[in-house]
Amino acid sequence: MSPETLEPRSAEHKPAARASATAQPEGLEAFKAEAFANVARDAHSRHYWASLGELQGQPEFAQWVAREFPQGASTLDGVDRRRFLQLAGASVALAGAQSCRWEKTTLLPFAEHPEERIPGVPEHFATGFELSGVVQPLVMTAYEGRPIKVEGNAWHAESQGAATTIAQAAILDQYDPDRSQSFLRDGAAVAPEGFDATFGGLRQKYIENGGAGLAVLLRPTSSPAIETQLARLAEALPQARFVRYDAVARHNEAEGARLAFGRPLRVHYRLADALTVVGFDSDLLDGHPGALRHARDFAKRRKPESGLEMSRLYAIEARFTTTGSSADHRLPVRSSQVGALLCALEAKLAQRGLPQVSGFGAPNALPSGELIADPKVARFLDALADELMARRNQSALAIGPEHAPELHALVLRLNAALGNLGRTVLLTEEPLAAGGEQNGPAALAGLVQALDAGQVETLVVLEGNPVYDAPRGLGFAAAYAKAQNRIHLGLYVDETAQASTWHVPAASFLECWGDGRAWDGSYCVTQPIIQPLYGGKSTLEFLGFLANGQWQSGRELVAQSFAAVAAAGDGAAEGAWARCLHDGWLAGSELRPVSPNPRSLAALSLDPAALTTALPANGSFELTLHRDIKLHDGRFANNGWLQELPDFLTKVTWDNPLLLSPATARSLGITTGDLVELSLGSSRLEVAAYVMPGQGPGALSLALGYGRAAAGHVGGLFRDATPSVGFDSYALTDRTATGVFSGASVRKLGGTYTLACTQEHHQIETNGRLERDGGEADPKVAMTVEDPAKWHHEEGAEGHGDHGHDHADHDHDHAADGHSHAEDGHTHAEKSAPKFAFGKPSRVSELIREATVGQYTGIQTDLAALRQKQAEHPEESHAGGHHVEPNPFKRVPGPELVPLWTERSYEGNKWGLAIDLSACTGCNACVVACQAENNIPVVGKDQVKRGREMSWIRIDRYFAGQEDAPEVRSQPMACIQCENAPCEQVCPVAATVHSTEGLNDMVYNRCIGTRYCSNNCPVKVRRFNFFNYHKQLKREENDVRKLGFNPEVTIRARGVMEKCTYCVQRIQAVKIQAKVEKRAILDGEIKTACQQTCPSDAIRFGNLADASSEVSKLHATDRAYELLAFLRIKPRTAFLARITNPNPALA
Amino acid sequence: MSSTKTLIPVTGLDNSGDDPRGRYPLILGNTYESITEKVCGVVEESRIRPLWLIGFLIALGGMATLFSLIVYLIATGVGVWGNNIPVAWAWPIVNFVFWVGIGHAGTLISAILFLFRQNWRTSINRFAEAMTIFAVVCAATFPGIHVGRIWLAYWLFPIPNQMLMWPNFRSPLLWDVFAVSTYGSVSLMFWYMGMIPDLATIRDRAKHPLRRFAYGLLSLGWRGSSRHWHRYERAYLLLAGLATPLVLSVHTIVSFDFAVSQVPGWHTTIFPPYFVAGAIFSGFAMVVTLAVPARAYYNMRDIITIRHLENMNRIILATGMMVGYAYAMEFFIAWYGGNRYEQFAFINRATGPYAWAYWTMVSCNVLSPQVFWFKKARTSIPIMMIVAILVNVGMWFERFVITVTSLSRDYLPSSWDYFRPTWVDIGMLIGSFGLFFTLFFLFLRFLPMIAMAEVKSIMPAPHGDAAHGRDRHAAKAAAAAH
Repeated sequence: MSPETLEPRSAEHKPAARASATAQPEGLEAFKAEAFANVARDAHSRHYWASLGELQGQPEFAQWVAREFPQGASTLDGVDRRRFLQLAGASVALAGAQSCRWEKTTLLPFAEHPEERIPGVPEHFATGFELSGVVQPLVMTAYEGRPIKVEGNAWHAESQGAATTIAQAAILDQYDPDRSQSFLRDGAAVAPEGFDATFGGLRQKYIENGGAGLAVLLRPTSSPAIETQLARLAEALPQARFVRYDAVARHNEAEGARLAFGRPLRVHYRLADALTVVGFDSDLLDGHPGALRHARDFAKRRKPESGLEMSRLYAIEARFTTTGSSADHRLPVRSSQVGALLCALEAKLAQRGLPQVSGFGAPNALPSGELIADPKVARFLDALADELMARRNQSALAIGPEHAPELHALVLRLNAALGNLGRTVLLTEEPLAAGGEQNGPAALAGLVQALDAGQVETLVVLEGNPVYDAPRGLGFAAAYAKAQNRIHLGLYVDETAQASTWHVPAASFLECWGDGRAWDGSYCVTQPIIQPLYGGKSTLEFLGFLANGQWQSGRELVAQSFAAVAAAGDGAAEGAWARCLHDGWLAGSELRPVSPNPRSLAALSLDPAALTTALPANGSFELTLHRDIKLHDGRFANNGWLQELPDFLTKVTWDNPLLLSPATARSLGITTGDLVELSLGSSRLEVAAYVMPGQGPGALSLALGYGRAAAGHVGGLFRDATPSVGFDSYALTDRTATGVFSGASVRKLGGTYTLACTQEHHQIETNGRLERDGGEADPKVAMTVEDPAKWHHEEGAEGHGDHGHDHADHDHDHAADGHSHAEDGHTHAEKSAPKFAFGKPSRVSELIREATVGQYTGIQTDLAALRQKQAEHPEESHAGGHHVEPNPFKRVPGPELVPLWTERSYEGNKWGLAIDLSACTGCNACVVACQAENNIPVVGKDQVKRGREMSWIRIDRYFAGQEDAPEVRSQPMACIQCENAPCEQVCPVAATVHSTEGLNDMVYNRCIGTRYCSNNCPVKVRRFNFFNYHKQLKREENDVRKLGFNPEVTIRARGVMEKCTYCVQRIQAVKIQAKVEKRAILDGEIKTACQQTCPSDAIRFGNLADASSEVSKLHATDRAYELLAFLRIKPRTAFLARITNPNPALA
Repeated sequence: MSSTKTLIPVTGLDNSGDDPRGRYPLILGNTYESITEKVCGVVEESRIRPLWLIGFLIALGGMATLFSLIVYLIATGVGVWGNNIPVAWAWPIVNFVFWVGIGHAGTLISAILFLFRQNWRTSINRFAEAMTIFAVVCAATFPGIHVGRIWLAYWLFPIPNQMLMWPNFRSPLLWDVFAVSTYGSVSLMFWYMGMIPDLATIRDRAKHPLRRFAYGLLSLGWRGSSRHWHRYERAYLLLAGLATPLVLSVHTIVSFDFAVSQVPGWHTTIFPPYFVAGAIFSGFAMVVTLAVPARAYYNMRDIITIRHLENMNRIILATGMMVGYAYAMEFFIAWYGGNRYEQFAFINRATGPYAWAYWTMVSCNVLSPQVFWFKKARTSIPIMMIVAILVNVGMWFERFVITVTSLSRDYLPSSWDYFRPTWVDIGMLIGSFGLFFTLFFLFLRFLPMIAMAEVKSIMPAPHGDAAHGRDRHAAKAAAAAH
């Protein structure tokens, strides 16, 4: 664009044009035109011209010149230069903007790298979790300093690797944004120093006056460190009160021991040595503080392969417990009848000549009454008494914590007489008995009196919530307001915190040092895994401050206490502290069994009303208020995992309905979901009813811990208009929170209430029930499960399972003559001609296969004989005829299954799982383990109601038998990883595919969510993200939640299907490690989360390609069967048939 | 094809007589010119008819509902529907199968009846084909928005991509994608091609240049030359041959979505013929539902005559019986097959929580068409309207029964659940009718609703020359000239 190319332009004009261009670029062309015109018109000046047009000053020429560039030069393909430059500039600007989307953050490397911490490699720490004074030994998994998973401490006898649902779910509370985050004074946040000053001043005052007007309310604890501080405080502040209260403490047990032995004692059970276990309203296998060990020990004798004699479990209970649901025989009664039954049992044992232990007093006489005379009850008690007589020293009797101390004493006397004490039932000192008179509801009542009398000026509540969970009859909330200084230490700004003048955020068990004793009494140390997120203080530190006037490190206090404990034991060995931190507990610190002298027990006085069998009238129902298996006393109400965990039997989530028996419900005209008014004394509660098969007639039960007013945004927070979950059953409590109370009445209110159940969302009509439960087409006998062996009999061939021994000879005949066997099979195949479904045996009996131990032995004998025959005469095969599976557990209805194509072969690993239905108690521990391990979202009550719960593993629960005394079948169900997976075939985008190790992989990134796979899944274990269930994470206050996720597992997006992966991340981690170490993967090295935490050791994962692996051996047992085998899906998860051990006398 | 028998003259509009001595004319009292005037008249009318406007606005409202709900769905997630586990497929899939079924009559009338030389098809084929296209549009809406991650629905198509991933060719859903898209495109082509001579007629009559331009563009330069006619007829025949297997294949493949799975109540070999029969059944019912008011409103009772309607009612009766047979056979096979899970699926259908839906379906689909055994019912406008609407309802319920009841109770009783629709489900069903009728109202207003050229081909020649009448080329040429 040099000027020379523009021929007509004069050299003279150029500078002017340029100058003006610099000065006034936008007027450039106009200026040039004007300038030239002036020049042309100037007749007097001499000038040069190039053309006539120029000379004549024609306007066209002027215009032509004015255009600096040739025509068209200013537009490029219709876009003018300016526009082009604008666009180009904008593009550049936008291109730059693209990289400015996220806020710039800086990552700082560790200035000093923490020792042995490798990013991405998890660390494990042993610690403990104290719940109601009992420490559960745990191992924490932490990534980059963030604890993300709670597991049991495999080295500790009370855990053996298992952890309870509550302990596992505690990780969610750690990262709960509703946790208390600052010091509060009258509800307003203040700096911690403000509290220190005020409280320091108060402390000084009380030190001076000996503690008059000061009361401290804390939870009973087994922590020696806290006891040391308390002892020091008691010395310094002799006038102060130190009251201990826990709504769900097991005082009655200790008091029972006091009656029987003169001092509070703890009762331990060694179920591995017990051949007969009897539970009276006792949840030994789940709710009991020692349940993990009980379940593990009990399971040892329930797996027939163990070679041990199988134990038998009896349950006599009003409310179904997990233990009762696993029992061989269960007698549903009212809790108020348990005393009479115990007396009767004792009398019957005495009749049978059971020698009495001297010093205990005379046995109770056989009560007379309808109940004891009732043939069903009498038969049950006689059979039980006979068995207990035969198995002396080898039985264990246990009674639930809601029962009166007298009954606990009686059970101890029975155990003593049966020779169980010191063998299956051990007694030790009770670590929770500390505090003496100031421990328990009576002490709390005393405190309330003192408050009312104005004797308490300052009340310090350490990690308790008495405004909510103190028995309401005491009127604690009103009395509390009378204290001038109300100081509360707690994890949440709960009901008590809201009523306090000062609130101090508590440190969670993952954030502070602590110690305590496990159920067996061993000394455990709780060590922090993470710094307190909100500067919280522990009870120990708080007491330390009170005692010493300054915040002391918890570590120091615990180390001191450790030294004392160790010195009292075998003496502190070199490195014992480090060893204790590593192992989580001090070896050899378990409590030693004691053999105290018995005391004479008075004869039990029985209420005549308890001895009737008639259904009590409305108004004299009994009501059991009990600890909730999920929320404990309500302190975990803000935990979504626990709230959404289906109850082990009702499958209700997010609620605590009132359970009542079908007979009771009928008498009141109530069905499940009706709103009722429950009255006890002068208290009333509006609550939803749930008709529970197997509930004692006339017995009502209701869990505590729901209906919170200030739990948080999950469990209820009235201040923020978050409705509470469930019903506040503390409203019915008077002097104690838990217990069995008589005189309850129920009134049906008009409305209904939707309970969110994960199973049987809706009432199932007659035909559905018949199909599920079997039986004739008569609705009255619904829920009748036929003998599964009978089903095999009808559907398949001869009744191998029927009466194993009787058929042994028959089988020999079969084996001896292969041809006739084949023909036989043929005839039977014809015989099993289709029938209309009515009158068919239960579908459940096909899904959950079971046999009694007698039948099982018979089947094994038959099979062994058959195999031997086959080995001797291999030529006599079944070729040419219908093959009939001789093993009834594995028998499949319909024609023989033949593969249609070459099956997959595997080089290397071939993963598989086995679930032993004999051992499974249905306790739900695996469900929470899976939820924590796999980042499974909580979806809320509304979504559960819609049938959209997300848990990858669920416990299918079925009932069998009559509705007033049903049996329970539990079946854990997760993806069974079919070899011929129906889901894989139908996915249009290949998002679910088979791995080279036989896993049915789910590729979340590829999934578009057609949900076809779920439709085609015969076991319906796939879960779909109907919404973005992690949406709340986008809110800033929920940032803390992100810390709790397992970084090894993807967070699934909306619209994506998900399901059990056999914890593929754990498989990969071990594979990588083995590869790095250039070795093979050991059997048992990979544990799925559900397996790891299973208290009854019912789940085994491993390599099926390795015939010596445990899982292969389990798959090879006679009782392993494939679910829905006739579909030819070839599941990788084998179920092991449930073997029961019923008493032949009660058959 | 005209019979050697005499044509029996008809006075009035009732040509449904069964006089064995001859045939009744299919078109009553019309000349080539009057046909053109009537059909083009609707398109050329300058005023907007009030009833049309009301109907159109209502339909437009429905369509707006559908699209707003789709936006809501995409913004929120498929949880806005009532679907759950185990009922992972519910109303959207029911609606999809329902609309695909409706779409069957059109191609059946255009292709199969054409190949079988059923002349009576000519009055209704345009109508039915248009209905097919619109039904397929409605149907295609649902699978696309049904998936969890709508923005990735294109992964269903075998598009070469950087992931080097092909779809899973074993999945019936993929076959569905091909089947429905093939069917949709062939139907569209068939419909459009068949319309070209008529579009040219409108173009030739058009007075406004814009109109001339628009219809001129659509008629693809049709001049009605003998060569044009020749090519047109060849192509029409070929397309008819191509579309005929599609009529059978589409719903066969849609049925594979169910039959190939192993859900009891889905896994049934009878599904392909049963679905096709059901589709034709529902399609014809929909044609009757649409044709009866349209012929009355646009005064075309002499073109779409009682005889046409009666013939359609006969087909409804026949296919209704087929469907009824299939219902019975499903039960028989469930019993005869001896598989308890399948047996229960059917007992559950008839007696379970969805029994109301099952018996609605049976009453509508099997019982209500039985009135068509009587000629009086077949030729009575109110009765046929009632039956056609009942059949539409019944066929929607058939898909509901198959999809939802089977899923709600499959193998493990622990997973049994009951499905309840949400307001979004209901809104989308209504909205899909809105979409359908919006398109249909536009069709009535802007395109020739009767295939003029084809109708003329079966009318007696204007000069009463029998030989002339038989010559379709000449007839069509003459028709085009008018």
